[in-house]
Amino acid sequence: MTKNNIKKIISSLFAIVIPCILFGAENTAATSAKSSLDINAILTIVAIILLLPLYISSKTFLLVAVDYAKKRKERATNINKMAALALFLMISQQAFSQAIEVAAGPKSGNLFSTSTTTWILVIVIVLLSVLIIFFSFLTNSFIKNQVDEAKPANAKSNNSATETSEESWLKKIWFKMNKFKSLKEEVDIDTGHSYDGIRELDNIAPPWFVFGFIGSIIIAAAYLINYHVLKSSPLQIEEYNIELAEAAKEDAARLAIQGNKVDENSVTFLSGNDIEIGKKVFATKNCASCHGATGGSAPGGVGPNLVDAYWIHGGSIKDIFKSIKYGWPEKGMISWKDQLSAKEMAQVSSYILSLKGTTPAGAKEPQGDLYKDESISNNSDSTINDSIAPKN
Amino acid sequence: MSLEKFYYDNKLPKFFAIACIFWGAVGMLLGVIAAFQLAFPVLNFSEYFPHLAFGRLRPVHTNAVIFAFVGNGIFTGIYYAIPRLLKTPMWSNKLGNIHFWGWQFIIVCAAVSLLMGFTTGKEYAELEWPIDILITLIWVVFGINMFATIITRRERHLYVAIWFFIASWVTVAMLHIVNSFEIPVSFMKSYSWYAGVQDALVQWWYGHNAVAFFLTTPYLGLMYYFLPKAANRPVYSYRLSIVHFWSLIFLYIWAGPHHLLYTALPEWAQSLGTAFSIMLLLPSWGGMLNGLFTLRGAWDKVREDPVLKFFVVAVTCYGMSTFEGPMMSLKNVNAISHYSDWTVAHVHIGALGWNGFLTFGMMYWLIPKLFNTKLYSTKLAATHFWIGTLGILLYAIPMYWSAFRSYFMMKAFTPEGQLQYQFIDIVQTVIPFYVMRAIGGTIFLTGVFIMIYNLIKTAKQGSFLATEEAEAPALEKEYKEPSNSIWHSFIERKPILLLVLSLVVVAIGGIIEMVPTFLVKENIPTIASVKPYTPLELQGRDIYIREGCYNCHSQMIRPFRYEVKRYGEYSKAGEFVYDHPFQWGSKRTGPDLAREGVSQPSSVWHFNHMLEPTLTSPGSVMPSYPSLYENDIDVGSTNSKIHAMRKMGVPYPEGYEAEANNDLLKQAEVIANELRAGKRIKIVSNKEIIAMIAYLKRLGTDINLEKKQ
Repeated sequence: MTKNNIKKIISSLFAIVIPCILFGAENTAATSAKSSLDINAILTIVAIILLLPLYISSKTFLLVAVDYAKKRKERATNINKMAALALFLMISQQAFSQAIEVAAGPKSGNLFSTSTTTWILVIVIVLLSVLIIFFSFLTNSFIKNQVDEAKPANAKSNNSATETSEESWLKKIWFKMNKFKSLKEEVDIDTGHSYDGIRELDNIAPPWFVFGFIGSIIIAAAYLINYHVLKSSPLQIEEYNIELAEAAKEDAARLAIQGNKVDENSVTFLSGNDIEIGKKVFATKNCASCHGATGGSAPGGVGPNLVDAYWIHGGSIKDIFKSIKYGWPEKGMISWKDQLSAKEMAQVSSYILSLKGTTPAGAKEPQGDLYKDESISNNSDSTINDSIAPKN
Repeated sequence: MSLEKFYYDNKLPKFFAIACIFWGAVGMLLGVIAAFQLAFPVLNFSEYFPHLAFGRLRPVHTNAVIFAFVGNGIFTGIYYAIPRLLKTPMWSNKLGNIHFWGWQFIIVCAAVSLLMGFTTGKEYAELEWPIDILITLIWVVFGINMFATIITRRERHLYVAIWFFIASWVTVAMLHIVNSFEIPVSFMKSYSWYAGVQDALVQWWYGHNAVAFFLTTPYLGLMYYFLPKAANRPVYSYRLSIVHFWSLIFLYIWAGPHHLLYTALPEWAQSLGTAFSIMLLLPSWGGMLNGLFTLRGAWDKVREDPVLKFFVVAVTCYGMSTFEGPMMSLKNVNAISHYSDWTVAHVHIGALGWNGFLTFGMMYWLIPKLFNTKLYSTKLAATHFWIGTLGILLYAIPMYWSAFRSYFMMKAFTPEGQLQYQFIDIVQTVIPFYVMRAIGGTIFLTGVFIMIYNLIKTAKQGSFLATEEAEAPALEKEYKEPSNSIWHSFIERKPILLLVLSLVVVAIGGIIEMVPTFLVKENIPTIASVKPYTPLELQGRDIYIREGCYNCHSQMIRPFRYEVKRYGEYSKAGEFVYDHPFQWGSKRTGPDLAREGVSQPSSVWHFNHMLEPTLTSPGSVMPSYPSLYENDIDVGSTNSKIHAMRKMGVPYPEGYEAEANNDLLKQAEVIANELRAGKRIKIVSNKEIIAMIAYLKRLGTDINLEKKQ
């Protein structure tokens, strides 16, 4: 009962975790690059190599499980368990093949170079290893069950005597790893302590614990030396500058392909599809929350209406582009240049200009000056902070 | 050798157990409410009960679970185990009673004062100075009682559980006193003695080690008593106990700065935090191994006995979260996990799994013993076990998921080099996970109620054993050490030496990290343009702290391209020199505010936003703050606040106290005029919202002034 439950929980856990990782992979498609080709290449190779044992272990498991199911068919007790396992197997195989696509998919070499890829690969490898161990465990437990069942009923009473000889290889490794002493030898390692009846044994700490601890001390020392003595890895500000330099390189490359970037001097009214895109940006990127879904602003709305001929900061395409790009922060209109691309800003500007003359219901009263083509509005930039800083 | 007769008292363990379970249920219930508030902001009921908004409720939840639930759990175990391990009753029943009632009084004071908005603004140390003093006094009472019991013992050597209790006691005392250095401004209001980077370092030295020495080491002590008792098996390895005890308490203290990776904390301190966290992994696992290996030969019992089931999952959760902790201390992992739901998942694996399940196991074992009966229903206990486990999973998995999801969204750039998602998009995507998490918490809490029912039934079917008789010979003066004992047994029979050694061992890490950060100027390079807050901004800052804004908003921009692009220039150490206390925060449910004054300098925007957040940010889960528009600024306190700040070295001119309120009113009028300019807003300039706006508009602007000049 409990074993069954645990297995169900584990299988549902995997079913949840795997798509989660895949979702992450989807999202990173657009993230920027960092060259660490060799690590990722190695990790990919490891992942591919790991496929083999996984294939073998899952196949073995399936064979054993089918065999097991056949033998127990007449009893039909474990249908539940088998169904859960089969479902899990299906999910994991499917998810697994997708994960491998992510890991081994890149043809352009582009995916090889992101640091996120490194992470995904590491996760994939860990996952593969866990799956392998899981299948091995399952296979093992199925085989053990079969052995148990094969034994005649009267032999079962002798079970305890033959216990050690039938221990699985995993259990043996586990015993060796921890240098366990058998329970019978306990008497020899009793410290003689008894605190309120609690005795203490004098087992040695598991060897892997001791070496692991020493190893972690060495790693920690190496970490400190690496960053602060040899200075061979970048500290955080340096790391940031590298990141910026890479982004700048990308920007330059993109500009070289796209030609000149649109700015407030070169922007022109766009029409057709661009206005549709602009409309979408207007609705989704928070413009509508202050200026109203129709651009007319709501009666209690925060921003001015954008549909009439009156403009606070000028109504030409260039003025509007400028207002969006730099904002009028002290009035609540933030700068959008870090959140919208130049093209998107041009599209939104065009969309806004296309609203001119519409009369949506509940539009706000006109604000600002009647805009004629040549008028340019001035606005003083008051620095409030200067005037209220404390005097000392 | 004549045997002496004596009696163990069971009354105090019973009292503490009842308090533990009661506060546990209360604390978890508050957690469930807070979790639902994050998904459904309407549950903040801001218009009716400003005291129950998330920013005030969350500290009550954390404090209740840590200090009331786990605290009383520790004392339950200590008052039961120590007499039995030392073969003597507790030294003083009177001190024990003072300890019990004093601690409950502190808890009530804490809950009431936090809901009323009295807070120091430092996580897990939010309680104001009078309560801090009370805690110190009660802690000393507890210490005297414990040590006097140890001194009058009839057992020569101290068992490993007691090493952990002693180390915990002395370290918590040190942490509490050092972190609570504050200068009182009035009754129930104080400023942290430390500022900015230094305050952050002290706070996370405290915060991390409160986890270590309140949630971990005393519970290891409980594990070392109750687990072998329940399993009736000898402790696996005495040597492992020695190694992991000393290495654990020595290494734990250093790891605090891993809460501040990629911040303005000097990098050598950050690296020490990471390096010591790596070394901490195996000493932490030492406890898990000793616990699990003690069960060798008793695994057949684990299948049937709910007590052992709870212990096994508790110890496994301990192993999981102490593995996760060092991983999260690695720089690149921390870049993902910091400020995210990952941290929330991590602490709840610890709190629900390790502390929760160990407490439940202990109660299922202890209550039948105290009432001289058997557990009312093993089946119900097993049900509680499965429900609890499911609750933990349903809590943790959505949080991990949400953390990764929001991380990838946070750092996604469009091919054009723009941020792909706005913060509000990310909030919207994680809301379903918040709902799932709240359901997980509710399920866990349901299990607790099942336990309460089961334990009440158990108590009713038995009869309470107020005292238990025992016999033991007194210790003889002369002691000859057996030939097979090892050097460590010398320390085990010298409790005061053990106390002093523990203090020395835990003091080293803190001293090495803090002294240079305080004394060496290069660690916090000064920035000339950074000026003290104006009186109005200072008042606004205190409102910010009162409302617990730091529970959801950080003020620390890390040097990543996606953070700088989103929030503005990364934060510098010199910007925080007048921040008593620092407000860097640890979780971003809302966006970072370190440069709020730069990115959103509009008074009107802030006015509208605080009144109804969804008006300016559709989809926001922030509660509204209508009370700020009604309450007047507490101008009467300006004088003493400025005075306290100047005492701590904030360069207000001599005698500025007297003029401060004039400046305050002038600045308030400027902001009120900005608000009135649109003709839509009517506001009087003495309302709290004006101070709040002044503070928010100031945030992060000092460094910009420098650039302009």
